[in-house]
Formats: sequence, C-alpha cells, structure tokens
Amino acid sequence: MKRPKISTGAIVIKDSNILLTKRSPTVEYFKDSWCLPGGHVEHGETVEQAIKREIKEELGIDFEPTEFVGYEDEVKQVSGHTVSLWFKGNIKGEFKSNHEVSEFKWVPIEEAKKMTLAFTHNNVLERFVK
Amino acid sequence: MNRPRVSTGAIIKRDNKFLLGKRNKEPYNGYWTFPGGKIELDEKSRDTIIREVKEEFGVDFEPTGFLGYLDEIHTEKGHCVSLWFKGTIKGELKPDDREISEIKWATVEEIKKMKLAYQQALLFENDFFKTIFTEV
Repeated sequence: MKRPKISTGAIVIKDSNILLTKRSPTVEYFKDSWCLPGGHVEHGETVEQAIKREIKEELGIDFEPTEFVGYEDEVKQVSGHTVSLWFKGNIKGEFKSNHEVSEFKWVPIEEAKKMTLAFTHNNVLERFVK
Repeated sequence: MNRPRVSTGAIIKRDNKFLLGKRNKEPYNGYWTFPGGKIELDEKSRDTIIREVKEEFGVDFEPTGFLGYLDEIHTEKGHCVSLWFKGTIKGELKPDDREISEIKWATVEEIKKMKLAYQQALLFENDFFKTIFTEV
C-alpha cells in the first residue's frame, strides 16, 4: 500500500541570501529545478541525522541545525505524498557537489521567492522565511 | 528496507491532566496511548489528527498548535516519525472499544509510571514538549 514519505530540508541564510541547490538532470522528478537542500529520512536515522547527512552528501559541507521551524504537508505531488520537516541552521566547510545536485547558489530571499522551486518549496519559503 | 512511517499524536490537557486511552488492539494491546494515528495518502497532518481523535475517542478535536516531532525509531511497527499537536476537545468522550478499552485523564507523574505504546515515553525527554508537560 502506498503511504506518505518523510523528508527533511534546510533553510540556510547568509547575509540575506538563501542557499538553493539545482537538481540534476538524472533525477526522477523536477529535473534541473532549483530547490532547498534536503532529502528523505532513511530507516534507522533521526530526522536531524538525516538533514546533516543529506547536506553533506549533496554539497560536501557540514550543516548544524539551530532551530526546527515546522512541517509541510506536501500532498498530491507528482513525486508522491511527502511530509517534510524543516530546520534553520549554519554551514561549515567547503562546497563539493555530487551527482544528485548539479549546482548550488546563494540567492537574495526576495528573488528566491519569485523563482519556481521544486516540490512545494515556494510554500516553505513563504511560511518560514520572513 | 522499509521507509519510516509518518503519524500524528494529540496532547490534550485539562486541569493539568492529559487524555490517554488504553489500546484494545495490536500492536501494543493493553498499553496506554495518547490519541493519534498514521497519516493516510494525500491527507494533511492536521486532518489526520482530527480524524483519529474522532474515530478513537468520539470527540471533535480542535488543534491549537503544533508542538514538534518525535523520532520513534524502534517500535513494533518499525521506524516511525510522529507529529504532535496540542488542542482542545468538544463533546462527550465515547471511545470506540474496538480501538480503546478505557480512557484516563492522568498527570505527568502518573503517565510516567504507565506502560506507553510505541516510543511515546520519549515525549518526556524531548525539548519540544517540555513546556506543555511542565506549565501549570
């Protein structure tokens, strides 16, 4: 039976710019789309372990969550129903991206809100980034 | 490997006591539980908890806030992440005995001594829930 998935995402802000990643052309959904960094929670790991692992895998940097900001119901999505849990936090280290993410960039918050982001990440920005 | 499940729970407080039910089905038959249950496909979390409180306890639940989440990695149902809401109920408590055999309003001290379903005992060790369990 199909059931919702659980994922986690990071809101990283530096000097009024927000960190966005570009999904690679080889992923199943939202190819080449910009989004907030994050990914699925795997069996046996806490949500905090998942967000740290995802950021490390995608960008090669260390993420330190400072605040849990809330959840987002991502229902009726082409990529399937997902409940996502969101953290704000800081990063450390040098960027080194991999196959899941082809690029990253820092975007002024207001500009990011006007972009068409993957999943329901526009909604996440509206709700959690003032 | 199985993906983690996602569920919801309700912390309903009245006169410094919290609403619990005794489970009348597996898993955790005979254990005490806060109201709640798993999120169905394309259902919003808030709608899940309203539906579950109605199904199990026969009352209307009005969520007043989201408290936080709980990592319940080692349960009889496998890995579960639960979302917790606080709120109030309206109506007369009429538990569905196929799910809940008994209800109880219990203080934190009492709850800590009860056998709790899933990993709900972790609620008392998590900062998200400190305020609701300590404020008078």
